[in-house]
Order: sequence, then C-alpha cells, then structure tokens
Amino acid sequence: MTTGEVLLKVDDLTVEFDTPRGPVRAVDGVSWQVRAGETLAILGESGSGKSVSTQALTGILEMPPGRILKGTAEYRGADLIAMTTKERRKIVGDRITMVFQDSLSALNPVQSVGTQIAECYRVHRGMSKRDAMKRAAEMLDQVRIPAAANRVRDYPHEFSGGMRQRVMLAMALALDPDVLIADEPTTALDVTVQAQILELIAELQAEREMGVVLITHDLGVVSDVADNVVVMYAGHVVERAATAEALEHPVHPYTEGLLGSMPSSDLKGQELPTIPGTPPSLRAIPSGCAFRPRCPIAIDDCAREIPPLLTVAPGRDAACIRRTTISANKEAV
Amino acid sequence: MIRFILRRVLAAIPIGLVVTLGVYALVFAMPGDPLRELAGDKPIPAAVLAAKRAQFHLDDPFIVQYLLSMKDILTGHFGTTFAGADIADQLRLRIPVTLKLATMSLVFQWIAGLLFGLYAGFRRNGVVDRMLLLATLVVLAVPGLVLYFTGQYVFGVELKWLPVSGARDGWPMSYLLPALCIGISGFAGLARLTRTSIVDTVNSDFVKTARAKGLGEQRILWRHVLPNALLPVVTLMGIDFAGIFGGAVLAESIFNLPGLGQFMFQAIKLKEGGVVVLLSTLAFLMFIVINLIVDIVYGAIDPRVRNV
Amino acid sequence: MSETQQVFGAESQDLEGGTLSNRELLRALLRKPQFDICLLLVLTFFLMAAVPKVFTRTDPRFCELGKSQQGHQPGHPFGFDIQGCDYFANVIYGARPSVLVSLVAGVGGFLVAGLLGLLAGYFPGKVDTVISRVADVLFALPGLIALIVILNSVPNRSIWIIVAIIMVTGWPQGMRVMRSTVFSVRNREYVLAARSIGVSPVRILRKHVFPNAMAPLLAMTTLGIGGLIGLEAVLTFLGVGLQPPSISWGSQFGVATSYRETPHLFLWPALFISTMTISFMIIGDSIRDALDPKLLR
Repeated sequence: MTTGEVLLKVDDLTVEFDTPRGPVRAVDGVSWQVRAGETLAILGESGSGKSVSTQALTGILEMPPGRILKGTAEYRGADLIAMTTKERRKIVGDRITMVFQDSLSALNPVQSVGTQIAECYRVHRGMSKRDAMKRAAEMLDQVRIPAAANRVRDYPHEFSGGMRQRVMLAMALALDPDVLIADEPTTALDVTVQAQILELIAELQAEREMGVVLITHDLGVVSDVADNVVVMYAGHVVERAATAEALEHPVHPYTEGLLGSMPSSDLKGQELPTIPGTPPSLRAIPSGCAFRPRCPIAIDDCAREIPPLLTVAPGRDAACIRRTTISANKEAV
Repeated sequence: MIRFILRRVLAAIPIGLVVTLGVYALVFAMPGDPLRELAGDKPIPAAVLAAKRAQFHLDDPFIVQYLLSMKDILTGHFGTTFAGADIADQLRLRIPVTLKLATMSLVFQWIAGLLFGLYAGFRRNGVVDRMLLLATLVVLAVPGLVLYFTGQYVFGVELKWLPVSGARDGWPMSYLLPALCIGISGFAGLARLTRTSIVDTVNSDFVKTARAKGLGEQRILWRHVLPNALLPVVTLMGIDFAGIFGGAVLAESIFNLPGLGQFMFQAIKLKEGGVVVLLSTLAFLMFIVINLIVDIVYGAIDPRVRNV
Repeated sequence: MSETQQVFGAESQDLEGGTLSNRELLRALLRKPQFDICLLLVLTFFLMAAVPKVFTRTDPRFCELGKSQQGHQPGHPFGFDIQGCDYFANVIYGARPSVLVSLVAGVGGFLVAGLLGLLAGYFPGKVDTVISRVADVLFALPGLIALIVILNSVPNRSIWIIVAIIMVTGWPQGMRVMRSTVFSVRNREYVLAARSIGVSPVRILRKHVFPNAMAPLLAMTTLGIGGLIGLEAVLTFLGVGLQPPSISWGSQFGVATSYRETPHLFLWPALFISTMTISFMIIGDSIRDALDPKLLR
C-alpha cells in the first residue's frame, strides 16, 4: 500500500451529456483518489464512463454537450471543477498532465514533435525558443527515443506507433507533473511495445514520486502495474480495492465475470467463460443495479434501487447488495 | 523545391499538349467555313478568299495547322483574327479587364468566405452560423445565371446604383457588380467549407491534447486549429482561382465586359482555331501555375505532403 | 457547380456507409418535414417534365402576336411572351430539359465516375494510370470552357447529346472521390477475406468494395444535381445548348435578358429553376445527415 500524500481526490462526480434524445448520464457519483507514487487503474468497458470522468475534471470535455452536475475534484485541496478556466490551466498541463490512446490523432500533424513538447516549457515556464527546444530533446532522450537530438524536428507521421506514444509521454512528463492521467495509453499498440511503454511509465513514475491514473479495459495491464483499482460499469463505480486483493477475491459479480473471462492456461481446451449479454446503452440503463440483467446472482431486490458503494472489508468497497462482506463471497457461485 | 517545381512543370507539358491538341481538333471539327460565315451574304472575290485561307493555313492538313498555331504561340507571333484585329493588341486590352474582374471577385469571396466561415465555425449554432447556413444554401441553390441576372436587374436596371453592363465607367464602377455576383456565388462554398473544417478540427484529438497541456484559447486557435483547418480551404481556394477563367466567360458575356472570357467565347463562335488554342493555352498555363502555388503553400503548412 | 460538389464532398468526407438499413433510412428521412416538402416539389417537377399536359392544357406553341409581352390575365397566370404565347405553358414545358439534364447527367455521372473510380482505386498500376491521366487532361481546362468548345462543334444538339457531353467532361471529380475511398476500402479485412477464398474480382468489386465505398460519391452526387439544373440554362443561354424551337428555361432566360422592361419573362423561369435546385439540395443535405453515423449517437 502506498502512503504518499493524496494528490487528486475525486468525489461524487456526475456528468451528463445533452443529446437530441434527452440527457444521458455518463458518469454517476464517481469517487476515487490517487496518492503520490501510487498507480490507480480505472477499469471498465468502453462507455462505462472511465474516460469521461477524467476529461470532465481536467476541463477538456466538450461542454456543451457535456455537463458536470455535481461533485468535486480536488488537487491538493483545490477544487478543479469550481475553479475558473484560467486558474485550472495553471494546474492542468503543468501539475496534472494527460496521455491519450491514439497518438497519431492526438499529436498535431503539422507541428514537429519538438515544437509540441517545447510548447509546454514556453507556455508554463516562459522559456526561450532555443532553451525549450533543448529541453524537448532531453525529454525525448529520457523516454528512450534513439538519436533524440536528431528527431526533435521530425513530424508525428514520421514516427512508429510505439515511438509516437513515447513522444506523447515526453510531452506529458516535460514539466515533472504530480499526476499523470494515461487514457488507454497502450491500447493501440502491440503487446511487446505495450509492455515497454508500461515499463517506461513505471520507471519514470518511480523517479518522480508521481501519481498515475491509468484508464484501461485490460485486466492484464491492471494486474501488471496498478496498486489500486476502481472498476466502473455503466457510469458507476462498482468495486474499489487494492489490485492484488481485487484479482484474488473479487467481490462484485462484474469484476468476477471479468476475471473469469481472462484466458489462462488452466482453461486450455475448455470454452472461455464470458459475461452473458452486452453492456447497457447509457440511454437505457436498467433500474436498480445496472449489472442486474447480466448478473448470475441477481434477485428481485436488485431492481429496487441503485446499490450504494459499501465497505465490505478495510480498504475494500463494492456496490452489490448480495455481497456485503468478503465472506459472503465464498458461499455464492 | 526547385526540383519539385521542375518535375511538376515537366509532367504538365504532355498534358498541355494533349489539351491544346484536343481543343484544336474540336475547333477544326466545327462545321462550316469560318471565312464565308464571317463575310455573311457578301460575295468575296475568290482571290481574297484564297489569300486569307493561305494566311490562316486553312487549306493545310489538321496537324500542320495545329503545329503552326503552336509555333506561333510559342514564338509570340500571335497574328491577327479573321476579322483583321491584331491578337497581341487584343490581349493587351483584354487581359487587364479579366484580371481586374478576377482579382476583385476573388478578394471579395476570400475575405467574406474566410471571415464568415471562421466566425460561424467557432460560434457553431449561434445566430451568425444559422444565418450563414441559410444564406449560403440559398446562394448555392440559385443558379449562377439567375443570380447574375437578378443582380443586374436589381442594382443596375431598377436601383441604378451601378452600371448595367459594359466597361465604359472604367474601374472600379463597371467591375463592382459582376465581381460581386461572381464573389457571392463563390463565397458560399468557401464559407461552408471553412466552417465545416473548423468544426471538425476543433473536435479533433490534438486540440484535446492542446487543452490538456493547459494552453490558452488564443494559442490553441492560432497554433493548432487554424493551420490544420485551413488545409482543405487552401485547396478549394486554388480550385476557385483556377476556375475563375471559366466563370469569366459567363460573367463577361452577361455584363458585356471586353475580357478574355468574352474573347474566347467569340472565337469559339467564329471558329478561330488559333485564338481558341491560344486562350486555352493561357488558361492551362494559369491552371498549372496556380496548382503549383497551391501545392507549395500546402507543403509549407502540411509536412505530410512535403516529400511527395 | 463543381465547386459546390467539392464543398459538399468535403463536408461528407467522414461519411462511411450508415449503419441504418434502407427502410430505416427512408423512415428517418420522411419524418423530416423539410424533406417531405422538397420531395413533393421534386416529384412535381418530374411529373411536369414527363407529362406537362397535367398542368396546362394550353399549347405553348399557340401564339397570338397581338398579345406579345402582356402581363397576367384570367386563364393566363404568367402572361405572354414575346411572340404572344402563353407563358405559363411555356414555363411548364421548359422543365423537361432541365429535369432531364439534372437527372440523367446526375445518375449517369454517378455511374461513370463510380465505375472509373472503382477501377482506378482497385487496380493501381496501368488501369489507374490511364484513368487518372485522362482525368488530369479533362481537369486542366475550366469545365465550362471544355463544354463550350465541345458542344460548339456538334451541329445538331439534342438534349441527349448535351447530357452525354456533360457526363463525358464531368466525371473526373467524382472519380477522384471514389478512387480515394476505394483505396481506403480495398485492403480492409472483409475484402482480403473475400480475396483469400478466391472470389472473383468483379464480384468483390460489386458486393464488397462498391457498397462500402460509394457513400461519399453518393452524397456528392445528390448535392451536385442541384448544380446540374442550372447548367442546361447556362449552356442554352450561351448558345451552345438547346437550339430553337426547343422550349427550355435556358432559352427563356436568353430572351428575357433582351426585354428588361418585362421582368415577368425572367421571374417565372428563375423562380421555377431556383425552387427545383433548392429542393434537390435540401434532399441531398437530409440524406447526408441521415447517413452520417456521427449524428446517430
């Protein structure tokens, strides 16, 4: 368990989208926190609200159509959501930075990568063009881009996918941020490159005592690097735990289902278990527990109200009325 | 850069030859004898006719006529029209007319198109945006011909603010109305494209990255949105520019401006193969030069096409 | 015209064959009132072109010189033209050339551009080189000038010849749009899969490539049809389109410009041609919006 200072604390964050067919709630009452040196994974399928929540708190979500209904996101005690855009800009991009999934579209195609990294130093540190470019080259070297000095003036399309993701990392880490939010940073990459990038993030994190929020849908990634994990389903947090415990003793049936459907050598020759059904459209979230229609242990009471996130053991929360303690977990299924 | 230009010019030469040859063949294929039609009902002495025919090489085979025309064009000996006007003089008089008309209408449509397009793009679904979409839909829906006539009728005949036609009032009065008409029909397309392009770019991932970097809105706009959003706009401006000569044919004949378009039109009607080929060559050269400029500008803002 | 197509082509670039079935698409379209109105208008114009007698019983060629240029009278809502013929009947009969040009050249242009773009995009190499070079040549002259030069060398211009020549000179732009979408489709997994199990190229093109690559060209065509309506009028006005005694909106404009003191000669065909064009454009706009998966989310 990490015990560093709490850097970013999200509480009861709720985000809606206006659509032609009425408002849609993409994130509903989500809370989590990340400490210095900690890696927090936010795990969920696409549409579970995992990216929307971080985009909302950093202010890069399109608003409208997005709208923050309630909630706070405190960086060292200062609420990012209540801040003016100008105040937030001093923190987001400087102390809190982000890496996105698709590095080809996330980098400006008509600017050299050096210019884009240097821009951080120019805007937030007021450096001269020359100095900023020099620092940009150093950053490229730090993320292990070979012959970095020669590549500062290259353009994004001249890099391979893995190298481009390193450029994104260099840009995000240029100002030594306290918190790095990595939104599916390795999804578009192949497995070996994925491992290299994750390793790189871990190394750089250790050097800087940085908090990392890793958004992913990949349980493998979670088990490799995350200290703690927050599992999201249909806009709600359904389980919150230390990674090792969650993987060993999942409490929420959804987490359990995810774990069960991981291919492993034990299951060789057998059919891979899957979670029946599909995730609900945000337009038509089932009443009560959103996971109810796909849940193997659902009872009539599950339809009554949205299950609250309850503490089932020290440091462990889950939102399931059938599983209110760890021991209850053992008997079911 | 020089190699790039050279390569493009070399690639253009065969296309230019095919284009001029094709145009000449079509003029050659036009029915009727141009000289007889020119004379109308008047009988022409056989000797004069023969002399004229020899002067314009009308008795030579098609390919010889074409090559002689090309030789004249390339050596700058433009000769005279069938009616006896010196073609070089005609060009001297007419090129400025078309240039003035083209410049005025382009300046008008580019400024209006970019300003409205940019504003509407950034204030999407605002009042200006909705007005612009409606106005451009109407402008795009009204055929150019109807637009020109309506403009001529309303501002020239009824309100008498501007001359109805002709170039007697000189620059700028005589050119305002035709330039405005060409400009309005061109502006609609440009404004719409600029707007769409801005909207698309503002929603792109790299603008999100720029926001996540904590950049100010002004910086995002000038450094990240505009250079990307203007790429398709530059292409359209080039197409516009290259097509202005085609538009001049219609505008110059409706507003009776003695420019190149009108010259071209008359030459086609009179089957003056030499003049038609000369003007087609000019139009083609313009087309190549403009495309080259567009490609250079494009390369300057988009690194992805630089080494093509 | 081509510029309009360029703009709308760009506006629909990211349009990749909707996820809606045809019936759903039609239902979604019919729910929009502006689409219904415009569809009704366009159908009216089609009917006008096919059977003008439905709208007027007056013979457009029955003229009394004494009534030349007179304004509207009972039974003659649009008044009379120069020769004293009923103008309402003339405007109604004038719809046929414009409708034919827009419809036939539009659909034909779609097929020609689609086919050539398909071939150029799917067979890079010789086929692509030949098609693209021909397109370069046709592109090099401003469209209107090419049309004037070609049409002027044709002695007896029927509406079909005009349509054919518009198609011959007009395909390069659509071809380029199609070619680039085919380029992006030809190496998709389903095409590779079809190729790997030995499906013939013709079948692959017809069943897999064309349906998945045609959306941008389709959007461009539906919106470009609006521009084609005016083209007949421009050509006829310039004297390289239909020849007298054909009745068309273009020839009516030609006459109207010489008689400025009787604006009704200009007003009515202008109103008809603009209504038809705007109807086509709104229909095209609606189809594009309905096909755009972005708006469905």
